[in-house]
Amino acid sequence: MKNVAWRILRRLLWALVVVFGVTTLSFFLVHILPGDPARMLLGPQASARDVARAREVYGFNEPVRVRYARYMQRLVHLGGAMRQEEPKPPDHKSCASFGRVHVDLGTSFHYRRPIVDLIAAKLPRSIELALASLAVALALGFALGVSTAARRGGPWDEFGAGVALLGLSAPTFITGLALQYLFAHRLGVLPYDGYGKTSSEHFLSIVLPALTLGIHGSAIYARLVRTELGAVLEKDYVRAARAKGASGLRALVVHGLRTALIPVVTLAVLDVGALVGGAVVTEKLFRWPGMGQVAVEAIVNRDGQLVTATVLMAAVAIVAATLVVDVVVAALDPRQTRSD
Amino acid sequence: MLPRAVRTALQSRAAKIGFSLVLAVVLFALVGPLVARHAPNANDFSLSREANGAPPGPSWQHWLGLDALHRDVFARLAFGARTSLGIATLATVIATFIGTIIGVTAGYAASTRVRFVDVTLSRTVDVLLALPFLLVITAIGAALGHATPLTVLCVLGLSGWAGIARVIRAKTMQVCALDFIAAARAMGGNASWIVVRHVLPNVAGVVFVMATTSVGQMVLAEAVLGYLSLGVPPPDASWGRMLHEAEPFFATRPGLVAAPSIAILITVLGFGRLGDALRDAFADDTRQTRSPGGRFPADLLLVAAGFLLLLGLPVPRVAPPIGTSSASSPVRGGTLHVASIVNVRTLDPALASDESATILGDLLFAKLVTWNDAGQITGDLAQSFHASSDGLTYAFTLRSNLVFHDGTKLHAVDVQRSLERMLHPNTPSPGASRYEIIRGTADFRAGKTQHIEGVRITSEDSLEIFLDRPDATFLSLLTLDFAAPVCPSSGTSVDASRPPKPCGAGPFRLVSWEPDGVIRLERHDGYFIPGQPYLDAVEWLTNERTTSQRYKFERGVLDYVRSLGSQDAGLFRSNPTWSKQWTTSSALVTNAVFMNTEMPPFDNRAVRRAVALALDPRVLELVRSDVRSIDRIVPRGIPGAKTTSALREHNLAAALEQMRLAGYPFDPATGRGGYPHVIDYVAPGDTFEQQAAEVWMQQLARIGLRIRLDLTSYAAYLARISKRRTVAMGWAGWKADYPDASNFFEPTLSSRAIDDEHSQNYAFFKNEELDRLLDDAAREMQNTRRADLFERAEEIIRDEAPWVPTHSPQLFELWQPYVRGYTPHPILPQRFRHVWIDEQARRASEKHATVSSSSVLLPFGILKGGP
Repeated sequence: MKNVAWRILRRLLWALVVVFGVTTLSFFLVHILPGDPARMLLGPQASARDVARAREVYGFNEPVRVRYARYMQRLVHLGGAMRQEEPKPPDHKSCASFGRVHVDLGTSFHYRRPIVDLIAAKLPRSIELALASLAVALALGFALGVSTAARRGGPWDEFGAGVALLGLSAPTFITGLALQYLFAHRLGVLPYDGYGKTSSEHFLSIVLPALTLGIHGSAIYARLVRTELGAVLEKDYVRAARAKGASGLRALVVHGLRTALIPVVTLAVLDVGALVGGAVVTEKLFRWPGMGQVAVEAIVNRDGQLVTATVLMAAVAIVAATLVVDVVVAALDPRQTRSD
Repeated sequence: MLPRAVRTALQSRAAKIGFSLVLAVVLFALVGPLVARHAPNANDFSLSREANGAPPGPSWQHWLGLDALHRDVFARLAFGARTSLGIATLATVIATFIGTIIGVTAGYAASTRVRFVDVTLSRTVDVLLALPFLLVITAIGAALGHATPLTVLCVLGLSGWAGIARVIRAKTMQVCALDFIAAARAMGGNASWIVVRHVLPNVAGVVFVMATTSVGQMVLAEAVLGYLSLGVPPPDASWGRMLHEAEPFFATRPGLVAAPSIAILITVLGFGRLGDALRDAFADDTRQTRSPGGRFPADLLLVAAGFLLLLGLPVPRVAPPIGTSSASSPVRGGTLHVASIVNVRTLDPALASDESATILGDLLFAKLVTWNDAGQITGDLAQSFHASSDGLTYAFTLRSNLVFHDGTKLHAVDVQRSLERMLHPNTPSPGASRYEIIRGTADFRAGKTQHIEGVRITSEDSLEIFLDRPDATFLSLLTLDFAAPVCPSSGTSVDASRPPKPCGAGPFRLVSWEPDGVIRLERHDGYFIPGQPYLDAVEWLTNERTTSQRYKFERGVLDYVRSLGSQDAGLFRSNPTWSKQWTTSSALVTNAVFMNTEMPPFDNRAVRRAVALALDPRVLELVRSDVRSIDRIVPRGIPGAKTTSALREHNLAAALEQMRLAGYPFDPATGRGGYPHVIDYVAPGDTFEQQAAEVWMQQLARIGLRIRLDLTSYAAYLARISKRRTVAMGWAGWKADYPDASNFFEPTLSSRAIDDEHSQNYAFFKNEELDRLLDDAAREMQNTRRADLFERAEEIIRDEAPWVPTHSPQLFELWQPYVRGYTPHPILPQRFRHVWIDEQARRASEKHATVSSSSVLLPFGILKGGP
């Protein structure tokens, strides 16, 4: 038991190191990129004098390491507990508080608001979309994968493989445009885009973007499930199960799927991690208020602290995803020795 | 083992189909370019676009039709095959190879004593996966500079392996836990033998699945690099780029989307089949391969069916207008629904400079003076105003009934306070330096004085402004949002990271504003013109794509649209039922090619002249309905600008003569001579400016100038062109801050705009006569004499050719018949101040609209647009 706790603790420490490394890397990377954040804020037609003054006011003239030191100091610090309804104290304007622990991700110059507020508004939408599209991808992928694996080599198998590849190689903008035209414009059964105001509207709004991403994602699951299942079904223990009288379906699901799941779960969890970082094209197409567009606008406008914050969020999501992968894989395949 | 596996693999039907598909694609890449009848990058401007704006379709001359820039689609598909196939397969090989090695090593090490190897590799993979693709790619792109097919290959291959490694590691660990590995170890097998003999064959299935699916992904990923200006440099074709460029023609010419899609699909299917067969062979090399099964390749039939479906789709018709436009007098009430493509980031008048903020600013903020419908300056908050005869003093008397949105009264002191707020040293306003002609501004901005000396309150409702020198454009400056009076609660300076809620004295007040969502304005009841505005509210949807705007407009969810894609606009223009509901007008924008007069070969005036004579911007009008070619700096629509005579005409012979004079004679027949070096042309990628540059390349090649496109992000573009001796030539654009010819010359071409690091004079053009003319024009108050001075300035630019003006966008505006009282304003874009809604016409039509969209699945009333 003690061993397990130590293992988890070590894994968490590693996660912290990875997140710290990625954050530091991105902080400096964004300052090396060509482009002037002050110019991006003031527009191409502002005079050189106005841009110079803005650079001074915004503090872009300070050396990067000074800004980095301050950023890291502020990132997690202690302060008074803040209540939502009260205005924030002047030196904690861009903080989010968890009890006495404050998290300060700085201010987005481009969005002109504290980054914690921005993330609080956008991140839940990204998570919703990531989970919804994963659900679609897994449902379609498994349906296709299992049914084709059960009848390998038959016409349905060939058809299924074709459909899967079709989904994979159709770029999301084409599927998305087609879905929007059909379901929103011609049939009028789903909203064009946006997030809606009521929970029923939210539910209807997520359908098209989740389908767009899900169809694209389902292909690889279909292929993985088919491959893995096909291989597993010929293993002796499955044959033994069938010989002992287990039905075809039972053999497929109980004995086959369990081990076939490992690469699928690995990929699925990593996909969620990546999708939380934002699905740029789909979000843009359906005006989904997620992190993807924030991340793009941050880089395009050289909004340094916002870039760092989006990278930080993505890193946390991916690192959490890899942790989950390791735990799930261990649970699915108890024989496997844990790596660390 | 391997030969037998391959032999077995090739016997299966799947492999035969896969192999022949791959062979077909490879053959196409090899033979296609030989049979193509046209060069892939040559524009054929002899054919004209169709009525709805789509490029010419398939013909005997062009088998698959022409693309957006009138290039032969077949030729581009064939040449693009080489690029796309090469990059996709090689990048896949690189990514899979690295991913497999790292994944297997880590996975195997995990179950041995050298577990630290796994830990190190896994954490490295974690970091790579955690860094966003976009950031990594942008950084690599910045580091590499020029994109070439080789860099694209490296970027794709090196960025794609981490995910593969992770999946393979998981699979390897699973395999290593199996008994036969333990047995192999017990037998004393060394690690490399176990890995090669036992582990690799068992993970091969996953490897092949990942690899074969990755080929198609890589073709598309190359296109994504293209949007980020890091793909294969244009004008060279790749399938991914062709697909991306075809996106606007999704509805009007589906064949353009279909051609690259089918090519990509066949490739993906072919590799998929081949991969499946190989995997089966590896997994079961001891067993009989499974029966071939299936009678026909269902997926291929599917592809064929999809292709026919795409070609057979009729061009969708746009819905008819909602309601009829009947004569009646304005009524109060109703909400106007408008959308914009861009996001609005700030509405604070001291900070905002983009067009959306200007349009909303016209509704939210009233200024001292504004433009009337005839394009003349007239009083807004000011009841009367006059300038002294020496042009140094301006006196304003305010109306007596002015009230801010928050209910406080507006007096002369608020005008002064708001000007000082915008000019405050702590306010990073993009427009502040323009107001430095007001006396004492420099001292105020340096923090030396409490107030601006030149702004004096003479009574509660009147004030005077004193200038340092006469300036014919001063009143124009006061029409801008920067000078708008704001509520006293808005503060004495602007904290740009948290600007206060916009509050002014315009006809509408801000009610709610969701970032990236809806901005809602409602009527300001205290507005100084009684009975105005007519509308109850304006709802402004931000961040809306043009296709969605079109759909929503057809449904009446939006009442007015601008900036539709040229294809969607074409559908409305060519539909007779809409003929009375749209207008086009010239934007007050000049696009040009600039040449850096300090860098070779453009330090030679003859070369610049040769370029000016060789470029023929009229061809852009053949390609797009929403641009108009121009031959002068000041665009049509700027008051007082002359537009009668043509300043410059395309003349190839004269251009060649100038090249000879410059010392670079070029013989078009042999292609010998010309300027010996390649010249980089800088433009932001994935824009119309890039497409224009692809045309310029072809035109300049005819006089012996070899151009290479250097595409960058917009931020890098701005940073680079404003540095001295950095960029030889590129795109330059200028949009009127206020409608005066001086605004087009002074910031862009006067020597005063030159700066080593932050130059706005991208050509680094220095001409004493031009500087003097601009000074004279600033002092000159008489309009015809000013016009003569600017005409002379145009001639200097034509003769010296630091800029070659090329085109100006045409705005297409469209509104439903129930939107009344809207006429495009000559100066201000989208002025909705006098608009009213004919509710009766709209309501009558709503019944009509619900007939088509009524559905049992519509219980939430989402589509019931309107109030």
